[in-house]
Amino acid sequence: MDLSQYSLASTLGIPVKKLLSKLEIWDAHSHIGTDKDGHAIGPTAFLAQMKANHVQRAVAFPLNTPDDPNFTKSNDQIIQIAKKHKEIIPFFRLDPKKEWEKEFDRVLDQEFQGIKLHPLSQNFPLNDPEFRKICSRAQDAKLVLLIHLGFGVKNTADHIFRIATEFPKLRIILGHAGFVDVEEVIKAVGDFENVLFDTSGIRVFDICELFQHLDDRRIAFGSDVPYFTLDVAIYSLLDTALLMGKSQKAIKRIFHDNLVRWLT
Amino acid sequence: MKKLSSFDVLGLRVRNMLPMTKRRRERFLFYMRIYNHTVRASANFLNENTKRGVYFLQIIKELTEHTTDYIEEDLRKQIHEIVNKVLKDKNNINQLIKKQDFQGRINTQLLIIENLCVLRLMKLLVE
Repeated sequence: MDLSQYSLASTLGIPVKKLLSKLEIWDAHSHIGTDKDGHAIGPTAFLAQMKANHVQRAVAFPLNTPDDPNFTKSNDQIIQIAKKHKEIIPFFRLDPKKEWEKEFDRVLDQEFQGIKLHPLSQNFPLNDPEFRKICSRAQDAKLVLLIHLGFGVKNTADHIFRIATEFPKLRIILGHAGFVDVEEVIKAVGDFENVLFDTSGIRVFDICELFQHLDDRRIAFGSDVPYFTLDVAIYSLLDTALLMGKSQKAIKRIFHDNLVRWLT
Repeated sequence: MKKLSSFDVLGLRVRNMLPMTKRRRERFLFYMRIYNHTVRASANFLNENTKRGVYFLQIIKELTEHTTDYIEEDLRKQIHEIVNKVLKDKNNINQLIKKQDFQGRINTQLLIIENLCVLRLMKLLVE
């Protein structure tokens, strides 16, 4: 479907497709592989989607892969894909309840740029001592930490505040912008230099909240592919930005510059 | 709230508020309905009330089955496909919804519908 025909931008007289083709887009949150719940996307389809939607680079990590409890095989697949395709910025996954240190050490010398953690899928609380150890190791290794703060995670603000304060050099991407507790998360860490709010899989109204209360430098576009649709993610952010009167410079920061600053 | 629960009354209000053509007003109310039922379905799934959640999705499925409005055809089709995808597992939803990560996945699908409706409504308001 060509969403540009339904875009607010086109009504405002903005040539949407031209704008998107000129705008560099980096995606802060996407997955490649197969999930236990049946969602799946392979590298070919993933790269085709990126190309069709003018996305230049994407942070990608494994899904909650079945029969791979420590993510060893899935992390290897991601790094192999990233070696072939420079569009992919590889992150690896860990399970704090398994032998995560072994996996961390194994992949440390590879070209991963960050770690993705999922408190719900791996069933750990945000005050888990193992989680804090991972944060410490990530900070030392200068890896970015992306943490799922979407559906199913509760009372996130205090924990994220503690982590961001205790590890001031750890760069943290808040997956789904902590939308389940967004007002409190914004209050707690909204002005932290080491925190980015990714816009993957969130409501238009939550994007409005982010735009209203956060500096543009704290927000990064994310898609949550394959759970969310890439074009809907882009247009949700773009149309809301236009509606909220964001400047071209601010839009560029959110779709591109903020992530580039952290990952190059 | 009582007044807003009736889409006919809402339709009148929209007509009074905004100088819309009949066609635009119909489109506006069409997406308001879908949005409303999606939010209700999502809230029910979050409360593990799957029967009600599925009920609201079935209403959306019916609403998006056909349209004579060719301009809305692509969007209608996309919403219909998402609902079908979720309803495909209708018999297993009761089990799946208790696993919180699956619950989140279903609600993420519904969130796509919500955003599509909101984007369309925003555009209809400024057209």
